[in-house]
Amino acid sequence: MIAKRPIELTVNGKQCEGLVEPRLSLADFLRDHLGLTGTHLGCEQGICGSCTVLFNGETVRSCLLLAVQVNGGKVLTVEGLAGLAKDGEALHPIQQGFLEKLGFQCGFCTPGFLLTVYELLSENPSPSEDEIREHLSGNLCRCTGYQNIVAAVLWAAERLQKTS
Amino acid sequence: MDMVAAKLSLDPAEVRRRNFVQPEEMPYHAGILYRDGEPICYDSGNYPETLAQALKAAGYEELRKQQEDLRQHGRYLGIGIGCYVEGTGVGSFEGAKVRIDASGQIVIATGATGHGQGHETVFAQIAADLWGVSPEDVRLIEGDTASIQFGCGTFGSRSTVNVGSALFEASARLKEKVLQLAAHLLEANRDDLELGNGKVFVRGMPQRSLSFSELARAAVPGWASKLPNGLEPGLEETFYFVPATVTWANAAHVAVIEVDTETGEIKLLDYVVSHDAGRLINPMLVEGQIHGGVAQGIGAALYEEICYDPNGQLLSGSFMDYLLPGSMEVPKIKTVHLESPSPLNPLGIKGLGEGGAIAPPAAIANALADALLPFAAQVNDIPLSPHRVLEIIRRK
Repeated sequence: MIAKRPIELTVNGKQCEGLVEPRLSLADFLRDHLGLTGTHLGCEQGICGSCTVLFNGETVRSCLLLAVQVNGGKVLTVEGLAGLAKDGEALHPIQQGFLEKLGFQCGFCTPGFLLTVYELLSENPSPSEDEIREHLSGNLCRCTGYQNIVAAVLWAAERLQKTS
Repeated sequence: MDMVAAKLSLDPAEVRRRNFVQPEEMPYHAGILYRDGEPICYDSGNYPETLAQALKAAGYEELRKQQEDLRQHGRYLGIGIGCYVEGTGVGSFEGAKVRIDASGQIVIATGATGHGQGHETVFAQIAADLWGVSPEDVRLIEGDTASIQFGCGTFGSRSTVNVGSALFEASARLKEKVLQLAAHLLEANRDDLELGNGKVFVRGMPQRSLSFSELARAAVPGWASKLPNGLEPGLEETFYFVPATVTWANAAHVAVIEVDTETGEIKLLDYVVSHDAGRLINPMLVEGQIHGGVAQGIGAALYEEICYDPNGQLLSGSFMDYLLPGSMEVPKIKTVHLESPSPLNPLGIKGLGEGGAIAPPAAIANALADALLPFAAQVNDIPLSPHRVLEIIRRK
């Protein structure tokens, strides 16, 4: 029997704690222990990107990180995005962009994309289409063919520039 | 067809033009059976026009000139065409239940459950159009056998065709009942009544009207009922649409590539889709389906392969080896929309959920063969990975 480890972290701005086996992935911790099922598991090998979350401001593959590795840190999942919107808007501009431009269909890859886009627009508020495609090249989508995702990002970038 | 073109020194587009079923030959009996057991009959479409639009959008003439210039400089541009027909809206059936509830909202239920392609939008649009309300006044229920008894499913580019048709028929029957009830309550002639803005009103006298909500509340059983004799309580009708056979969509794709003859790498420079899927309901959703299909086709053409070793051991067991196209691999896709309404269903709809995936392997393989014309290359296997491309070049 492997002893469980206590962990403490901030998830979407809220203090959380858990008692976890060392082998528990961050994705499983978010989904099963915290009930935040917006983080999806597509491959559990770090390639598809649907498990992407932000850890201390950087995108990570939560399927490859262990929950014990994020002890003391800050995690942002898709459930926390709307809370970062300004002025009581229901959705974050990135989410609104995906709505406006049909940037998602089945939605499985979408949380991973949203957080990767969040990282992109934090670093580069006015990316070109090529820069967008390159930054998103680690997130797989089978539904959209990426074109409307790119359009959604451009929409969100413009909206964020306007309201900042 | 491209081999025929090469042999006869004809443009590949011209070979296709000469062999198309012409629009005046529609409906055209192909002489073989479709997978639903029915004889294939292309019901409508203008195949030469579909191709013409694709070539125009791709800038075909200009591309041929560019290709010639680049060849002089030892660079290999290729243009490939892929034309197809797709049997859409296959049976055996799909149903729609249409109900007007006490709030006046139109509630529709179907057994064709969506995966994100936009059923909530498209079926709401169709119902809203049929009933003279806005799509916000329509609510869709899917995948609930308590809401509708029978369903077939969402696959085979069939939902809008079959659910749309079922909605049309169910609505036509329910409208008849609604008008009879309204005629009774408004003391008007049924033929003098019209539907619009969520109301039934007397033509020319908009103040003499009843809202859908009022009509639904009049159609209750019991003491509060305002139903005339002969009309059952409730405003609800279900219809199961059984298509006789599929209705035929068509498209032409043009792929523009450049191939590096040293590394075998193919770069997809441009991709054009000219498609005809009958009456199109929502352009944004249409393009979403096409983009997704084309991306999947590009995957098949260039990246995806399931490999086994001689002992049957799977080698491509993860996404590291089984390559799915990402945002860097799928170019911007240009789409041209054409509409030849289907004569086989009341709304003239054809399906398009899968069509995008059909042509890319052909278009891209043809583009490679076209690029490698000086090498007299035979391109017969996909995916066209760099090592396969180099093999093709060396094989000459």
